[in-house]
Order: sequence, then structure tokens, then C-alpha cells
Amino acid sequence: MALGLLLALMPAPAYAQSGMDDMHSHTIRIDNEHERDIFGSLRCMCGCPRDLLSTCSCESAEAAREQIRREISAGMTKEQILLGYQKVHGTSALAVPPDTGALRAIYAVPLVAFLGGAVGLGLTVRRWQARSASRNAKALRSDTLAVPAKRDEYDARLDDELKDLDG
Amino acid sequence: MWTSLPLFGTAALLAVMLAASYTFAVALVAGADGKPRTLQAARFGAYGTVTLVGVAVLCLAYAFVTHDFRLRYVTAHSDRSMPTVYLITALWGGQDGSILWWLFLLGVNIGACVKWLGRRYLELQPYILATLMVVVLFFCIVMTFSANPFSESISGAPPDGQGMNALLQNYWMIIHPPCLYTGFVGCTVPFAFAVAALVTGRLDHEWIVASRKWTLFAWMFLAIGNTLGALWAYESLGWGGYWGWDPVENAAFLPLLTATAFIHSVMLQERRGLLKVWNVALICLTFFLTIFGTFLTRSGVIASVHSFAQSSIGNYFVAFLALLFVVSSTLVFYRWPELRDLPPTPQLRRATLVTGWVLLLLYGPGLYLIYNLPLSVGIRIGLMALGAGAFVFVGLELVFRRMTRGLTLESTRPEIDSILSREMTFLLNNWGLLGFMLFVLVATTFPMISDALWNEKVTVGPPYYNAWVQPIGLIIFFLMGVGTLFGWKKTSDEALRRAFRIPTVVLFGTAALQYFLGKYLGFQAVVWADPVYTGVMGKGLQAFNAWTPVLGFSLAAFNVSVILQEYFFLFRARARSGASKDTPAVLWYAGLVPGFLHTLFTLPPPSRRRYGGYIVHLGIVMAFIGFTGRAWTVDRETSLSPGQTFHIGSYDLVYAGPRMEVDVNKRMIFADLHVTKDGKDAGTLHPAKFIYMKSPDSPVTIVSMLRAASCACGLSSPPTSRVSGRSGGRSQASPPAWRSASCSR
Repeated sequence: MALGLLLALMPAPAYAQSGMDDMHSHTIRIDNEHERDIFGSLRCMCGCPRDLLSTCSCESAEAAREQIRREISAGMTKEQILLGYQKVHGTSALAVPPDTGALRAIYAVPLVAFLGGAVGLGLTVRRWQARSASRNAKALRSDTLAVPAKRDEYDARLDDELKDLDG
Repeated sequence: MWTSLPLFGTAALLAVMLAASYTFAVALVAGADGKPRTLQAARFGAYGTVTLVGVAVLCLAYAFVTHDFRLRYVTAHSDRSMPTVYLITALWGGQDGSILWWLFLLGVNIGACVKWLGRRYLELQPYILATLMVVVLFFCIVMTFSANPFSESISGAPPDGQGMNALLQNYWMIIHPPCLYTGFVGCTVPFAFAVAALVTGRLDHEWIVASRKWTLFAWMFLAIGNTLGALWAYESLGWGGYWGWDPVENAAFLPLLTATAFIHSVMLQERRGLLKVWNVALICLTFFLTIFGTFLTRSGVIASVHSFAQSSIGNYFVAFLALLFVVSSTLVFYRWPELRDLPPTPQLRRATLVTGWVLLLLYGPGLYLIYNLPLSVGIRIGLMALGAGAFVFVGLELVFRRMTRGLTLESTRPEIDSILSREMTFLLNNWGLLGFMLFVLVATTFPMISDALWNEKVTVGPPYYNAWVQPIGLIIFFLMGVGTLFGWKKTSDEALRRAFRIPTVVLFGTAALQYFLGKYLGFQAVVWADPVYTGVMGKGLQAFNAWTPVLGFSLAAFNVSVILQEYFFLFRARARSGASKDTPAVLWYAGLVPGFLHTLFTLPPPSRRRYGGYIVHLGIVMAFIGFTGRAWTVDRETSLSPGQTFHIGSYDLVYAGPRMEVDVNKRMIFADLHVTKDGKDAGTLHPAKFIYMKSPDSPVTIVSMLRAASCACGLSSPPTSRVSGRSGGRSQASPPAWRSASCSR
């Protein structure tokens, strides 16, 4: 399925291996941490791959920053500004996928797999431990009458020495 | 100019294909007939293939150095003004050449592996060679049919080339791609060992011991390659950081995580015979991820600053990934009984093979059904995620139990004596690393998943990763230190108390010191940032991440104390046993390092491995201190006129003015800044914009750093002079704009 998905997506747009163009020579001005936070939450939609408004020096990023500054001055909250930007440019304009609907899969899948893995690991280890305990109990019962052999003593001493050396 | 070079180059590629096909066939025959002479023929075939790859690379290098612009690739990635060193690096500066370079490094690896194999692993050798040749064949096919670096320009040779991408004309280009590619191709040899072990059924420790060495080699280069890439990104890409979580960076990081998990879990198989299926799966996954990462880089399916031009080679990669998946899965299912230490009856083997594939084929429809269940999105996603890993393994386990009902299996089933053991901590380590890998993998591929499933285009930017990796990273960091304190099999309460005593004191002591004194020294224990989400989860993440500085720093101290304690125990044990006399006293007199290194190299192999590993742990601690330090970094953007002073943190930056230098292929416009820290001279920064002759519209940002003073600066626009009309002809230096000025305390 995953491979099918990859194949289906093959004609997706690619970005040529090109550097910045002459439009990417504008001043980045960030006046305060509130601005930095908002600019860092939004992607520049000029076509450059993955640059955020906080790092893109293109003309359209500069215009977007100015627009956002005006919105901040008008008393809009971060959520309102982000929502407005998203309405104009689409969901891909947000640096963090919104925590809504199916898009929650982005963190839900790893988290559930993480927790599922922990449960699976716990169950496996418990089973392995139970097996070991049962074998040790059997060995103990059969060894009660047995006389320790010289070989065992030697092994134990060797183990101790190695343990010492190993720290 | 060598007139037949393009033809010769293409012929060399075809010859590589022929030689690899021959070697593949002969290797399979050698595996079937078991004759040493046939194996020898296959070995010679491998050497021949590698030599031909070398010839092809030399051809392309020659074409670059002699400016043979008949070749499209040479025209597109070089020009006459480029210095020779960059003409050589241009070989891997574009898509077609980088695949040839990849093949060359793979060839070097194969040559070294065949030489190293010699008379070792004779039963595995034919299949190792056959697997390696399949990989060679794949890259040859890609080049011959889709990305031939020797293809000629239809319009003939232009007088000059277009030049290399300005961002790539950097000294990091000389070392970063070869290191990273060596890491990538290094993962091929362990994979070949795994395939050979699965084909022959020799699944004991033999292949594990060999593949571990080769995995360590690949791991080392992957780690170096990633680190160099981070340094390069900081200096050239202008993200204002070392790691931007770009898909291509992530693609290089993913195999590093699985290889790290393998390096740890392989010890459980060596010592205790545990995790045989897991280790095979991990090594296959690591190789799979190297090819997947290349696919991400080359196909252009995900927007990345590294993306190469779009081409059809993505289709080849998808086909190869499918082949890898089918072959690896079939072999694992076929050998499932042996991997579970059972005598493989035909009935059991057939059952696991059929069940495995039926479950895999049902996997897609199963996920589709779950996705369409009338449940909330969260539950559906949860069920799908749970199903993702458990489906096949649980199915196989059920078949296995059914088929082995009534058999006495006690002696062959895996056991663990205690959860207070190193075995358990290694299992947890694998859980953490694989979870981290899954997190990065899902986030990296999410834009295309979301587009395909929900027709929703999304961006997964650095803020998302930065918010989530802090808890995940700190869990792994914690496990790294704790795991070291446990012994194999079972650790007694007394031993645990002894091992944990000092590191725990250090952990809490550091945390308390930082909490109470940090704010006075500028290292606040808690640093709040705005949440990435609204709601409870956003607040939870925000709260955890606010505490990252104190958690990261105290865990770093904890890890350092663990490592120092381990070395202390080692030297004490050696002193008690008299082994310390093996190290000549003169080495200790020469300094701590020579004596320490001699001791390390003269330890018995298992201990050498262990204490060598602690040095790597120490490096990881350093990296975590760096990550934690980011919390106290101050970033500022501003515009300055000459003579103007800018204050940032405890630094004052005085802009002296612009300065231009010119060399054969670029103009370099510098902005000199004198830096003082707390009134004392800290040096001069020279951030710059490089404007290349061949790409004047793409100025490259060159960040300047004062490493000793922890201060860096970059430009967003070149400092220029212009006449201001409004000021009546008065000349005015327009302010250069600081892309970012970052300083850490």
C-alpha cells in the first residue's frame, strides 16, 4: 500500500536544485518575540521550499510580515492571524499541521505505535521472564540432590573475575 | 579532448551491468554447487565490476577537468572559472553524477568486503556477492535508462558550462556528500549478510558478528555525514540553525537511528540468542531506509531545499523498494521456524510463508476497512497505527503456536532473567530509537500521505518537530545513561544501589543548582515558549518543553557521571588484577590521552567494544548539551548603518562598513562587525554575500562565526551603497540587513 502510494504520488511537483533568486534579498525585520513566534508559525508561499516567514528574505515574505504587523497592531490574536493566513493560502501555509480531524494522524500514529510498542515490549518481557522463572524452578528442584561439580566452581570463579574486570 | 569519451563512458556503464549480471549468475551457481572454483570466479567477477565502475568515474572526472561540455551533465554543473577542486566535486553535485559516485563508493565497499571475506564465511559468500551485485545492477539500470551522466547535449558543446549551484561551491561539498554516501552504501554489506544468512539458513551468530562490524563502519560515516551536513547547513543555507528537519536531512537521519538500534540489539543476540527476527528486520529496514532516503531526495515527491531536478528515476526506486520488501519479507517468512530456533519441518515452513504473505496482502484492505469504520477519527487512526506493526507478527505467532502445539520448546525459547538487566534496557533503547524513527518517518512523509488520503496539502515545518522531539529525545537520552548501569542477566539490588548512587546525586544536584542559581548566571532552568497547538495537548507539550533546559542539562551531567564512573570501575579493576601494568608508564607520563587510548586498545574485544561505545555516548552527551543550549540562544534581526552599534545579549556589535573582494568566479561582499562582550574585544565577524559570475541572481549567504565567543552572524541582503534622491545628493550607505545574529551565552 505504501509503495502504491509512493507510485501514485510520483508526478508531484519538485523543486529544482536552485538557490535563491534576486527576490530573496530583502531585509528580515523581526521586532519582538511575539512577531517571531507568529512568523515562525507560517510558511512563506513564494514558492521556495519550506522557508518560514521568519527566515525567508523574499519580497512576498516581506509583504506578508508587514501585513501581519498591521494585524498585530489592530489587536488580532495569534490564532486569528494564523487562521486568516490559512484562509488565504491554504493549510499548507501553516508550519504545524492543525490539530484537527484526520491531520491528527501526524502525531497520533507515532504516539499510538510508541505506546503499543511499550505494551508489546512489556508483554514479551513478562513472558520471557516467566519462562526463565519456570526453568530456574525446575533446575532448582533437580539440583537439590546434585553435588556441585568442580567445573561449576571454576565457572563461578571465572564469572566473578570477569565481572570484576568488566566493572 | 578525448573524442570518444561520451561513448566510452556509456560503454563503461553497460560493461558494469554485464559484469554485475555475470557475477550475480556465477555467485548463484557457486551457492548451488558449492565448488570453490566457481566461488573464486564470482569473486573475480566482483573485482572486475568494481574496476569498471572506477573506470566510469574516472571518465566523468576527466570530462569535468577537461571541460568536456559535450556532456550535458558537465555543462549543467561546471564552468571554466571553477577551481579544479570544485570541478571534481561537481561529479556528485547533480543527480546523474551523484548516482555514479554512489555506485563508485558502493564499489569500493564491495571491493573491501570481498577482500575481507577471503576464506571467511564460505557458505554465505555466494549469496553476499549476489545481493551486492543486485544493488550494483539497480544503480546501473537507473543510470543507463534514466540518468546517464555521459549523455550528450543534442545542440552540441556550448563554449562554457552553466556552473555549479552556488550553494554547493563550499568546502563542505568536498567532504559531506562522500561521508554520507559512504554511510549509506555501507549499509548494503550488512544487508547482504542478512540476505545470505536467510537464504542459507545459517542464522546463528556468524552473520551477526560480521554484519555488526560493517554496520559500525556504516554508522560511523552516517554519523559523521549527518554532523558535517548540519555544519554546512548552518554556514550556507541560512536557516539560522544546524538542523532544519528538511526531508532530506531526515532521510539521512532515519537509517542512523535504525543502525543505532541494531548495534545495541545485536548484542542481545550475540550474548543471549534473543531478537533474531528483530535483528534481521532491523538490518533490512536500515538498508530499505537508505534507498527510501535516496528516493525522497531524487524523486521530488516532497518539497526540500535539497531536492534534485525532477526526473523519472523515482519510478525505478519505487520498483527497487518493492523488490526489497518482497524479497526480505519472503525470506523472513520462509526462515521463521529457524529464526525461532525450531527444527524447520516443511509443514511449518509452508504455514509461516503462506500466512505471512496472506497477512501482508490483507494488510492494505485491512487498513482501508479500519479507516472506514464508523468510529471517531482518533480511534480509527489509533487502530491503524496499532495494526501497522502488530498485524503480521501476531498472525505469524498464532500460526507458530498452532503448528508447534505439543512440541517441547522450552530449551529453544528466548528468556530474560530479570527486568533489572542490561537486556531490558537494550530492549527499551530499541523501543525508543524505533519510536523516534517512526515519528520522523511519519512527519517527513505526512505531506504526501495527507495529500493522497485527504486531498489536503500540509507543511510539516521545524516548529512541529522541535515541539515533539524534545520529550522523545530526552527519553532516549535518559535510557542511554540508565542502560549503562545495569549488568547482564540480573543486577542485584546492592550492585544497582552502588551503580546509581553517584549519578543520581549528580543528576539531582545539577538540577537543583541550575534551578536555584541558573537564572543569576543566564542559564534559566525553565524557558517558556508559545505552544504549537491550542488546547490541552499544546499546553502539555509547552510545559514539558519549558523544562527541557534543566532536564537536558541535568541528564547530560548524569550521563557524564555514568561514563566517568564506568571508566573508574575499569581502571580500578585493572589496577586490582595487575592488568594496568600492561600500559607502559611512559604513556601515562606523556599525558592522560595516550595512556587511556593504550588501555582501551589492549582490552579484551568485548570490553574494548563496551568502553569504546562509552566514548560515543560522550559525544552524544556533547550534542545534547548543544541542543539544550539552544534554549538560551538569542536571535535578532536588524538593519545597521556603518558605525552603528547593535546590542544582543551580552554582546555589542559595531558595524564597520561594507567591503568587497573579487576572485575568478565570484564577488564577495562582506560586512565587517567588531564584537565586544561585556566591554572586552571578542573579535570581528565577516558575514558575507557571495555573488557568483554564473548565477548573479542567486547570492549565497555566508555566515560568520566567532566560535570562542559563541556568536554568529549572517546577511539577508548584500550591503550596498546608493544615492538618496531625497537627501539632495548626499551619499548614504544603505544599511545591510542582518539575516540573523545569534549569540549563546
